[in-house]
Amino acid sequence: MSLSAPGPSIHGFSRRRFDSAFGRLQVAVLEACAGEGEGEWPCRVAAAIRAGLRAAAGDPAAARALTVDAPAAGEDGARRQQRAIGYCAELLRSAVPEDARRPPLTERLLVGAIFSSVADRVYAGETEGIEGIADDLVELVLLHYLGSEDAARLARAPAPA
Amino acid sequence: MSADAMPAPLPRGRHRLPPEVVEENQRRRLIEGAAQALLEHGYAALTVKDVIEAAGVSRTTFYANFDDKRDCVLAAHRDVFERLLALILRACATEREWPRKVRAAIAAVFAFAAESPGRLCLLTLDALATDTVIGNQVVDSNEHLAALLRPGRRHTPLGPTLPELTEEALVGAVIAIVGGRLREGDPEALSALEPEIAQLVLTPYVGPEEAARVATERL
Repeated sequence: MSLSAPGPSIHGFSRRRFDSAFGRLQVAVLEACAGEGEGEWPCRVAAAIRAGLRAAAGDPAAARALTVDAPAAGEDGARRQQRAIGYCAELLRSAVPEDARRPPLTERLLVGAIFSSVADRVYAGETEGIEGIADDLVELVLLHYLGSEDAARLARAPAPA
Repeated sequence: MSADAMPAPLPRGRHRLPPEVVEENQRRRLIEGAAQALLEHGYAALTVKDVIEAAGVSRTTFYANFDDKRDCVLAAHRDVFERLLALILRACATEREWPRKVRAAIAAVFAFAAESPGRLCLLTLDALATDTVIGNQVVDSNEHLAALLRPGRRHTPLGPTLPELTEEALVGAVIAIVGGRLREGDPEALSALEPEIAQLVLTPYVGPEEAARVATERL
């Protein structure tokens, strides 16, 4: 077997599982963004965060692979997770209009906040609670761009029927 | 001397050093060795052999101090966290305003990272998946850091309305960023991020303009 072949590592981390989980996360997030069409960018961001969290709650094994197993698996897993966070951060940055953008590290920190909040719940065996933190995370992300009041209003708004 | 420096080995053979000095030196060497070996191997692959080789002590000495690798890693993690906490609290005490306390605390963390990347990496190593006991200690220490940030809710205009998980998420995010940069092996570059990290941590509490101002002020 090639050393670079995907598959379970000796530490229980599986590249294939990670890549598959990340692929499904990407699809969920991109579909949610597309579903918002030409709507306001904060709504697309909120929809993407909610979709990502819904995907994590619906597939705890994938959430675990992305947020807990990867960084615990040493260099390879940590590098993959950093790349995944970087991808999501770039996606978030590209959604924000230039005149609303914050310092370059902003999106990496915010996506890192989402990953670590999910990791805490996965680790605690509380994956059913992942969707329950969506409002808080949407607000935390958006307040960096919109300010507290607008972010809270948008995060707490009832979902469209 | 770097804080990562391993305590010097004691002279071999007969010497007049008191036993407690010898024991303390060996324990410190094992803790440093664990930090170095963890950085290199990760927790899951770490062996007692890795630790004793990095520490330059015998297997007998290892087992005189620790039950197993978990016991040693727990001690190393606790030791590093207590040192970092002391630095953070000392830095906070030098400032009066809450936002400047946060700025000073973050500066202290980054100074510690630059001086002792191996030790700080110990705090960012995510052993959660492989060892529940270590995971619980890591979660407790992160919660301790989050608790230090929480008074910002009382001392800042935007604090009272912030989402419940703000502090937990911010601490987790900063640890992820610092850990990622340390793993890339460039602790010097890390210090350049300090003002930006401070700004991002402060933004929820004081808004982006005030956060930017505090983050770029001279401490």
